[in-house]
Amino acid sequence: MKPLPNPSRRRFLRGASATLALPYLEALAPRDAAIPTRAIWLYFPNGVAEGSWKPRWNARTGGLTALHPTMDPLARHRQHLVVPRGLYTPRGNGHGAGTATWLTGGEWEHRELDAGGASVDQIAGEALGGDCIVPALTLSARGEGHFSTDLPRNTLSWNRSGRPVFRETDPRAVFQLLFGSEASADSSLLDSLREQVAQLEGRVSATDRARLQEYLQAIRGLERRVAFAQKEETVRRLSRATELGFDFDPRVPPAAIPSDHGDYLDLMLDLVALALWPGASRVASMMLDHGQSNRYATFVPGVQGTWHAVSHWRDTSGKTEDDDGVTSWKDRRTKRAMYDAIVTWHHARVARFLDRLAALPEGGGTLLDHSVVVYGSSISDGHEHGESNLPLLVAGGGGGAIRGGRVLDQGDEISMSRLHLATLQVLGLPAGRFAEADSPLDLA
Amino acid sequence: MEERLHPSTAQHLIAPIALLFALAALPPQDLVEDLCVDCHRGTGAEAGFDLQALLGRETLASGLFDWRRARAMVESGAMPPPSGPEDPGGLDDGERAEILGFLDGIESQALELGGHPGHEGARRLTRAELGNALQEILGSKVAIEDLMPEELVANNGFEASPDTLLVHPTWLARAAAAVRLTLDAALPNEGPTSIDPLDPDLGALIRSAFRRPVTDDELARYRGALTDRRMAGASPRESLRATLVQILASPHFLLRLEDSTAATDGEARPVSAHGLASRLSFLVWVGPPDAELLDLADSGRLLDPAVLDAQLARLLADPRALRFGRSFAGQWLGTRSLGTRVKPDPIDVAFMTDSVMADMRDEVARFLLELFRADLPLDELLLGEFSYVTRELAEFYGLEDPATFPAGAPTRVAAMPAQRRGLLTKAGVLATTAYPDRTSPVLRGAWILDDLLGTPPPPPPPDAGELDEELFEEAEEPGLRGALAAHRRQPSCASCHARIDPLGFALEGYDQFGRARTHDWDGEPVDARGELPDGTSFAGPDGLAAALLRNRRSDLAREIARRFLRYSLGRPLAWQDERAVVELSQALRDGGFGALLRATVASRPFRWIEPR
Repeated sequence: MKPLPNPSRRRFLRGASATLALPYLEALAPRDAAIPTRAIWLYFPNGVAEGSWKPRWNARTGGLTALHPTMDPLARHRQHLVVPRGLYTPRGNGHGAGTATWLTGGEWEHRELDAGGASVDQIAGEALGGDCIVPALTLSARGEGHFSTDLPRNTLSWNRSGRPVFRETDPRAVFQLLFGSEASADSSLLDSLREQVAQLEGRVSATDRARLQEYLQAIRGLERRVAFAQKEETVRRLSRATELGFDFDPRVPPAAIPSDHGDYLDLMLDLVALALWPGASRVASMMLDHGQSNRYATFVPGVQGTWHAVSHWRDTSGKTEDDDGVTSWKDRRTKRAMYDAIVTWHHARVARFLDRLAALPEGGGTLLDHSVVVYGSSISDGHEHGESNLPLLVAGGGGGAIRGGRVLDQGDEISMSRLHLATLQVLGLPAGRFAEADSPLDLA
Repeated sequence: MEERLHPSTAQHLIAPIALLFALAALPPQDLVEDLCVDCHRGTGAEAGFDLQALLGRETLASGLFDWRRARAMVESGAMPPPSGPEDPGGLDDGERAEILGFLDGIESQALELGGHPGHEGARRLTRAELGNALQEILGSKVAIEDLMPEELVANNGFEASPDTLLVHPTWLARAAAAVRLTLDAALPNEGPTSIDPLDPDLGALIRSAFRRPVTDDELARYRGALTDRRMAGASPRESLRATLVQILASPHFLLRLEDSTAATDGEARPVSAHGLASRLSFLVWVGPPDAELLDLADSGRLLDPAVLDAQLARLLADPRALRFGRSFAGQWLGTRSLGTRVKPDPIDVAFMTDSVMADMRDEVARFLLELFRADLPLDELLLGEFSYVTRELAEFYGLEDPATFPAGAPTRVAAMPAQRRGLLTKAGVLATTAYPDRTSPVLRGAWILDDLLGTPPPPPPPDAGELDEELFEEAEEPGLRGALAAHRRQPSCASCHARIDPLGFALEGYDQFGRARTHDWDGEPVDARGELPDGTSFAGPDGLAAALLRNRRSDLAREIARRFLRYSLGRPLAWQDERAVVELSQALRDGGFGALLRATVASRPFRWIEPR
């Protein structure tokens, strides 16, 4: 049993990589065509204080010299990171529209509940995840406060028919879906349900046929649990995960949503890793919180007030319409420091998740080598509801298609759709276009 | 225009309205083109609002809701913006009359050409509906909130919407688990069971699950499955359990398919008797029809207006109708977030217990339900003296002798004290529209404009500025009223906040929890004066209620009709539905809330569908 690195060991590793100064070719993953590349989108709300995403880099080579100090937790993965600058979402941004269209590159129509088309995760999942239980897993932290059940702020994923894909917030439900046994045992049940759909299909309207297709797809997902659970590789990998230091046993469902917020997010992210590694899902998205999180961020030491209120860091009165009337701040500097602290705390969750991916062996490398992780927000500076230079980064080896340790500084007004297009290509899809983008961001 | 009317529209008699507007020609659109289209054109249109495209539509009324957005901007004076430093922006009286005339013309066109039935399609059950249905069918109950996820909301806060109610693997896996747990409670190994495993009436169970007659094939299939299991050696209980899982995981149970077969796309037809039975029960009971309703649907007698009326009265009188009160009040007025989204700190605010917040939500639900049950007139919504109060809520309100109220169940009070009459003074509403530690006249004012009057203020412009500490310091008057007054002096804020804030000021006599108060958060005496945009001034909640009923009666009735129709149909409204909204609001004004319900159930969008 090999535990994950403890903090002091992490510090040691960070120091070591800094002194060794590996040429980045060595950091590249071995190419192994048999191993599928996975994609994960990690979203956080409310942006970052202006400047707190800005790295240092070598203008000549584009080499990432250092992350911003507030991104310290991610520094140990520096060689696996690409930080693109100047990205924006030309057709809409912000807490609501920006969240709903973050992965579609489209425009948000609130009356039609239309985010402008299918999201990149669903496109990839559908194309690549045919034999998965849930080709594209969609998760989120359960919201607190305003907008916790608001659709656009809680929806990154939109299916091929443009319908919102529900995000799951309960780790027990995710566990049951992926590794639950009872329903999967009853394949005669699933046969009978499929038969009922077949009998109905010819007799209902086109809309209802589409609804029945959704139902049928869900049935197929549950059906695939049977085969998945019985696969030798599944059994081997899931028992190995426990040995590799996962905090929970994939054979035992979690008892409840952990009361500690950090434990909760870590568990959800562990489930992402455990869904992807043995192939229960091919891609996944996880909202670290909904698009306008009004959660009291007091789980971060030294922070007072809600995340969204703190993100409006230039106003300290505590008396704006965004405030709760209870909390106020000493000055802008203090409030900005709290804003940074909240974001840094979430970076630590993501860094731990990257540790997880790097701890799961696959071929000659790790799951991180065979993954592309897109991490970021739909807003730049939270106070300004900034639209340009969105905080985004790409992590992972992408199966050899991503060259890490770099900053992409290619000007302003680069559509985020070019990143989505690049991600689809990293996954090996023959995509030539995503939304209005026809040239991918160069990740290689 | 005649050929644009669907043939089936002619069969349906909404003749009075159609006649009224049939001859209404659209006023010229030149001024809109001159003043607005320069900026609001094409893909780069200002605010993404492409008026040129709207003007280019064959039927202008199809853009009704966008045109209303334009109207709000014009009426508030926010559009058109100043063209230069000398130009104050807005419109002169002549231009204003012409543009509003044009917009009125579009409203008329919507009424003239509307009336097509919609098609919400076979949406899945909501969490609440699933829980109630399982309880109804199996006679046992599990806490569905722990098993199923909370529904996401869009479209004015309503959760039942075919656009959002997707079936996906996680949902299906969870629903199947909920079914199994409910079955475990219904078929315990020991103790009494609600279904006899040795002699189950499978036909009745399937019928109540599928909400329609069971075909011979279906009955044979499920009987066969039950027998096969028994033959294979399973116990009667196990066999029944497995067969019921098969029935209750079926699309016929989980999706609203009871009226979906025999569809011819694009051809309007009346909702079937079984479709109607379900529409009624999901409206009033938030769950499936009972045996009596299904019997009347089987015989077709439910389509007889007298029978339908009697059934409606029966459903409404049944205790299950409280689900309607809770569901409609919670979604329309937002009170369902009290206790979850709106949750005061249990240590600092010890009196806001979970139980008293539940009582507050229930008070609003029961108050609304009585409006419908007793067919009370529109005025009673804002003036009604009766209410439903528990002992804890009586203590919270400071009523006399709270100890005389029974603990737990609410008591009907015929005449509440003057400061607790009508919807606007209910703690549930007041606490939902406040911040945790202070009131917000803006939130309360915007709530009235949006949820009650259907004229939501446009979102603040990007440069709106904030209500920051400088404003509090600069203000001539103390406290929030002064700061908001200073905010309103900024030209970009004035036009909207002049409409929003004064409505909220009238409710300043109640704190953020809904307690009556004489001094505000800064220790200043409460000043509950306000005024409507037309200059009508008033003071306090009763003054506000009277002013709304007098000056905004039509808006109020329309918006209630709109929200109620939207709730009843379980889908967002389209421009074609506006015709029904006008009829329903008239029923509400002429009769009362019972008349609104009866008119809704008789309305074309409720009784017809056009499968697509």
